[in-house]
Amino acid sequence: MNQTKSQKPLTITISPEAVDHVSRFAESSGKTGSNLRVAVKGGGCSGMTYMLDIVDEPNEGDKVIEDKGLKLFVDKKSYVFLAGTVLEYSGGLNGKGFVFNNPNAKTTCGCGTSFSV
Amino acid sequence: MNQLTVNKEIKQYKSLIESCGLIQFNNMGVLRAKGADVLDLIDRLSTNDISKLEDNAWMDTVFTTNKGRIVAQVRLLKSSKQILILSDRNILDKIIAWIDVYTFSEDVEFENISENMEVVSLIGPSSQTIIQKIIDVSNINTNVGSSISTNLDEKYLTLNFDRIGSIPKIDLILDEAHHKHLIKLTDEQNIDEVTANIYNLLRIENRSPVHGSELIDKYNPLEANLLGNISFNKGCYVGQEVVARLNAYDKVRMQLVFLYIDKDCNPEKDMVIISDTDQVGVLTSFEFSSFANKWVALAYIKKSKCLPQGEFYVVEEGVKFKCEIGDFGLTD
Repeated sequence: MNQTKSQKPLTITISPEAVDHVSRFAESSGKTGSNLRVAVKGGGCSGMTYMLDIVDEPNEGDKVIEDKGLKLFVDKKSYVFLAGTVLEYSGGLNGKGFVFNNPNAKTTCGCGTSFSV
Repeated sequence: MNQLTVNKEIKQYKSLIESCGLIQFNNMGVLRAKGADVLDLIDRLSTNDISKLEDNAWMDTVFTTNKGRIVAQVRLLKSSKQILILSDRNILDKIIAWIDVYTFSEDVEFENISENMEVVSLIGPSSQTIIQKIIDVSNINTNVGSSISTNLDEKYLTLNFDRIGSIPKIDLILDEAHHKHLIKLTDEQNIDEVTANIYNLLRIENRSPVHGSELIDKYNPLEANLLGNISFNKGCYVGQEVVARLNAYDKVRMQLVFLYIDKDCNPEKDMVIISDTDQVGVLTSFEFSSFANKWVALAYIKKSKCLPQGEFYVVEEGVKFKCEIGDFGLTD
């Protein structure tokens, strides 16, 4: 029997630990903005590299996603490669800092900062 | 081939290695790049350290896939006014499309201006002397790596100072009207115009790869004799991990080798190279040299088989033809 499941649209989410560290980072670095720009740029061994920045306002055409009280701004092209991503924070001595769990990434480079789809 | 043609070819070839010859590159194309992020973006996508490219200089670099395979080799020419990208005319659209995949919010724009531009080269030991008779180069840097925009009858042209092997090569990039004028000036200096076939001999002898033959996505820049186009000190670029590992652990599988093949053979592209009974490589380019009275050829051959005492053959209709490794054929 065929069953139709209602699927949630793919979005970008952020873990509570990551939200906490975004706030701390903004404070410690003296950034005035309180929102997070999440983006992809060309480069890195695997072809595409993740970008994070604290900003005030979205750019024209940005997708605005709100999660756990934090606004994420994503440009349309980056969103294609980031839809479904969970932004987490890996702390502690062996932690990696901000980690992108991106279901679109087929391969990542050795250091984990770049990916290909 | 009749003796007259043979003599003509030998004369043209000699002009390249002993005096100066002129070659018109109908296959070369030019992109004009605009935007604040052009060099940063190309640096992130290609093998050479573009951050070190200064004004009035050129640099070769290779776009690679994330598996380190060749997408395209380009030459960047930088002046204070503009950045030009020189490559094979047939792959310019591919290059623009490749860069576009990796362009997100960068300020970059590429315009194909090949229709209005011509690329010619003066090649030979006396090419610098000849250029001085045509254009005032007294105040410009004529060292290899220099790229200068200068005047030819009140119109700009770009000069690139380069070498092919040990032979000086000066590329001139100019519009159509000035191209005709330049040809007239070189005629007045009795410069021989060299055919594409004769230039191809020199290219093969110097293991210089071209698109469509050696520069294809089956091979990486280390295999294609493009070590000089790679920076191992720059940061990440697409394919860097693979290229760096192949080099560091000496894992390069194939090597581009210059071969002589017997004149009675009729070589074909992609002809298999054998050693004993094993297939060890493939032929990528060839040209008949009236000067050597043999075929000269380039082939990708397994690096493990590239030994000075190695014997290689091509087989044509059941007949084995020996391939001798040419001078510098194994030099990196």
